[in-house]
Amino acid sequence: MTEATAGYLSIRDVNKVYGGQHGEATTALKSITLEVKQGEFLAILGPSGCGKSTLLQIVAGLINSTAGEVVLNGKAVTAPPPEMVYLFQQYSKSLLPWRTVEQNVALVFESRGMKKREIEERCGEYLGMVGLAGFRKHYPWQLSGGMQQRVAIARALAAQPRVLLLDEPFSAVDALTRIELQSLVLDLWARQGLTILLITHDVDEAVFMADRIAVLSSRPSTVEMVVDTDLPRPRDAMGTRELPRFLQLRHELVEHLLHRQNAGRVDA
Amino acid sequence: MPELGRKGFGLLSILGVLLLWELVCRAGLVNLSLLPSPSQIAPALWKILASGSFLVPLGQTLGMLLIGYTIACVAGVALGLLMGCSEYLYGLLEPLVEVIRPIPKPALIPAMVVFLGIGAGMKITMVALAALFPVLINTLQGVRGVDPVLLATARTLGCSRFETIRKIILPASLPMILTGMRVSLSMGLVLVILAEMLAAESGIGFLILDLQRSFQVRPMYAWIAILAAVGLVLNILFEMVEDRAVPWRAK
Repeated sequence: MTEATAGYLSIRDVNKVYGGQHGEATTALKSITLEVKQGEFLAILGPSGCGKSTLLQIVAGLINSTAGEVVLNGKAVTAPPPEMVYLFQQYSKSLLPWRTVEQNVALVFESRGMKKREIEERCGEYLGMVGLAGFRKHYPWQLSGGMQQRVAIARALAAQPRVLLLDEPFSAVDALTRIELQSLVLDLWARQGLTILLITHDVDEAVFMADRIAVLSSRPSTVEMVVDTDLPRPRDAMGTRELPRFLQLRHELVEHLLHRQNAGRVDA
Repeated sequence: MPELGRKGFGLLSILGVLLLWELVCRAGLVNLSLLPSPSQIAPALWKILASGSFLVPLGQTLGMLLIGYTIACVAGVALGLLMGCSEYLYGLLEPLVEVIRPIPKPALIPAMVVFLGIGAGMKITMVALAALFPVLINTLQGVRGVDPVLLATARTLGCSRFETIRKIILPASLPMILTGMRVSLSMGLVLVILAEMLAAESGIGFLILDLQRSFQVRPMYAWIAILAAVGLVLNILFEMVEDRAVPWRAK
């Protein structure tokens, strides 16, 4: 946090409206404004279907916003910038089943005119980082879900991004694997000096991993509040979760989300 | 049941039909000069196989089939990819495809004969026309069905458009493309035989019709049996290619 620089990635007044013209228009995102500092780990927390993924895909330049802009390092994002990589929740859909683990990672090197030997070396290096050095020749469908997501993480890192966008990357794996992957990503974040935006509906995960948490409301989504987690680093899978600050923050956030959900029911 | 056992079990139904056929013939229920029994056809079949006289007609028919089929596969995949990747080309070509596709292709044989005569050109064209559409339509569906997550992944990892088509869209569509190719192969076989029957002086189709006209009923049936075997072998070969080309599909 101390090395963080302000104004690195700005999400300015972003709106997203679906439909219109014929059907009824749905406002998914409404005036979302967030500032992300370089090297920061920001979690975006919100209920399912609140448009979190839409927001992250707009940040990634994968879809266009209806209004507002995303600025990365002084440049407006209109297409996927090379220094930003999006990691999907559905690892089973984002890995190429006809390629081995190594070849999946190699995808990002192939277009850069590298020699075969060099590509293999680099792939080995990144697979080593996620603890999959021994699975280079396996096919994705021969691996467990958690291992497949590790491959996707290795491939994302191989693209050498400065910003990593994580779209509920651990929600499809079992609880223990999730804890392992959380620590792995935190470790890589610290070592590579990345800026990370993490989308999640898991309060525990947001508090454990992030520097700051932006809470989104349900549709139309707005930023309800932004809180500093203010927990010491490096975070420990067990120890951090037992700190009073962790418990207090988790309590507050869960209470907030529950309260809002109930209020929503009464309104309806 | 183990794989081999299941196949062996299925053979029983084939043997059953042959046995019933044989019995019907032996019981004198049919005119044997019109419908000979399997045991009467078998020697005729053996004669054709042993003398090697099957090689030339088989070669002619398969030659036409494979040339026309190859053209159809290349053109079908290329067109399907182009139409699947470009909304503009899709809008332009889709109506044309939908107009030509429903024409039963055998109906075009007389027209093609007028146009191209009764030689190889006509037969190859007919096979290619019949085999084109299943490949084209399946390729198109395969391309349009590529998971959006996969395409977005390619974009976020910085793959160029061309790279995305070659390394992502094409392999992802391969199972569908192969399904189209498999359908096309049997369509092509139908068309080449039909073209040979309607307008040709060579090939298995011509031979079967010629034998019928000269009332050589047993060799006629023997050739039909050979055609059945050809279809079967082609299908088995295709399955082997499919298994090797898309090993991830079964998983």
